Amino acid sequence: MKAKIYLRKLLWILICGILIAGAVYYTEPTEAVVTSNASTTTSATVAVYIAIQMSPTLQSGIVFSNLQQGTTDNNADGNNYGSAGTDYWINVSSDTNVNVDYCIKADGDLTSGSNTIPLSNYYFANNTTTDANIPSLSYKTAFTTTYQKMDTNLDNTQNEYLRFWLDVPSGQTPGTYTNTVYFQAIETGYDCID
Amino acid sequence: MERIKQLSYLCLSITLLFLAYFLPKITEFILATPFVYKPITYNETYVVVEVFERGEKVIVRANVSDDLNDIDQVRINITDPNNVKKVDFELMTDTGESCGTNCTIYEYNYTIQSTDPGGTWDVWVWANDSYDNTASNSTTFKVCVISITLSPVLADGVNFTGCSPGSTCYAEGNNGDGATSYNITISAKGCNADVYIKGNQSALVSDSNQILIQNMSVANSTTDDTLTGVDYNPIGTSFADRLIGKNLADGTVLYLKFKLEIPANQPTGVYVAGLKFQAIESGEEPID
Repeated sequence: MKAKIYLRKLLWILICGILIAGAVYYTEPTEAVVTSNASTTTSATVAVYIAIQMSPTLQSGIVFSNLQQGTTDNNADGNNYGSAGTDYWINVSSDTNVNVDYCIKADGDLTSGSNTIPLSNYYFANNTTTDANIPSLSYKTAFTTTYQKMDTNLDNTQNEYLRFWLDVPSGQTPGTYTNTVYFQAIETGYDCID
Repeated sequence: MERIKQLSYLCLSITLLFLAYFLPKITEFILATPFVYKPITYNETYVVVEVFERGEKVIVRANVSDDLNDIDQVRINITDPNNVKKVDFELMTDTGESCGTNCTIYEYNYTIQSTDPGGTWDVWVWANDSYDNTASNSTTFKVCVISITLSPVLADGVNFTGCSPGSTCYAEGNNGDGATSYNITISAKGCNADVYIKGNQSALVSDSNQILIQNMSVANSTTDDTLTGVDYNPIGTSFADRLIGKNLADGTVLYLKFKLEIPANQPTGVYVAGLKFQAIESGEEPID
């Protein structure tokens, strides 16, 4: 009787074993898959992007207050020359994606009605750093009506610092004299574009 | 009168005897006609399959019965979708396997050639017995052949020009809000197709600079070549990342438009990468 029970158990174990082995070793037949492939290229030309910015003081204009006739190298109000760094600077926005050269020009003589102060009396100096003496009067350059290149190969983290001076001729008629100063940032290595 | 009655009984008896003798023969005659069951198509591992691809072996099996077990020949025709007989009345092999009383399984193998057309193929199995009684049955299977054709502008490349940093740039062939010049024509014989797209690398590259491929998005439609109001979805480096057409039938034109997000501060340059397309039997996983 015991042997019969033992044989029955053995039979069950064998059946279970065969089923488990079958499940383990059975793999779903795989069908081949039909595909068709094609390819192309993609190209993106990212354009040069330059956005020039001015310091708040420069945005307000280059102002010379209380000028006297017959004086030279009069400092613009924001120059802070001899005392601190200049309040005049330009730079390019952080999303500018090339290094730049800076250019400067004015549209002509300073005028007040029919009276003028020659543009050749108007000077600027530039530098990539500033303190009480930099940019220095020693490196002043007279404005012209065409762009002159200043510092070159500046990236979008660097400022171009500026100072301005004006000579007032003797006998200059009193008045408020104005002109327009232009700044340009151009991709490094290219000429300024008037 | 009695004689007529006796004659009637005699005639009836003769008729009954006649029927008793011949009826089994008639029944036997009818039952002895071969019968061909509907053929079934298998792949090489004898899994029932209805859709095959080129290069695969089609195994046609047919159960053929005859009450007298008197089958003479079993033959097969296999005809392609262009009505060309690829197998012309060839003998099928007797497998020796039984499919019941007086029933035997016959088999024929055909390997689909690389030049065979896609579409629906006809299978016709015919059998006769030694009395030349005949029977036949038929079935079909499909050969799936998929191909895709890129439009000339798409084949030339997806070009983004004059892109500014920090902006969204649209591909030239989008033609703005007009009809796109980017499309793919689907040829799917014997099956439908799913179409996927991916970049061949993780970024568009210009020297040491790059724009991630995920910045590139695609819009797709099978009905509107202007893709008005269709969403753009990013492309990845795996086909599974971007399905652009599902269950597309033969002759479908898939219209596409592309855009690229240019990160702020992105250095100027010409950035390039490859784009890949895959059409695959509908429902199957794409293969990278």
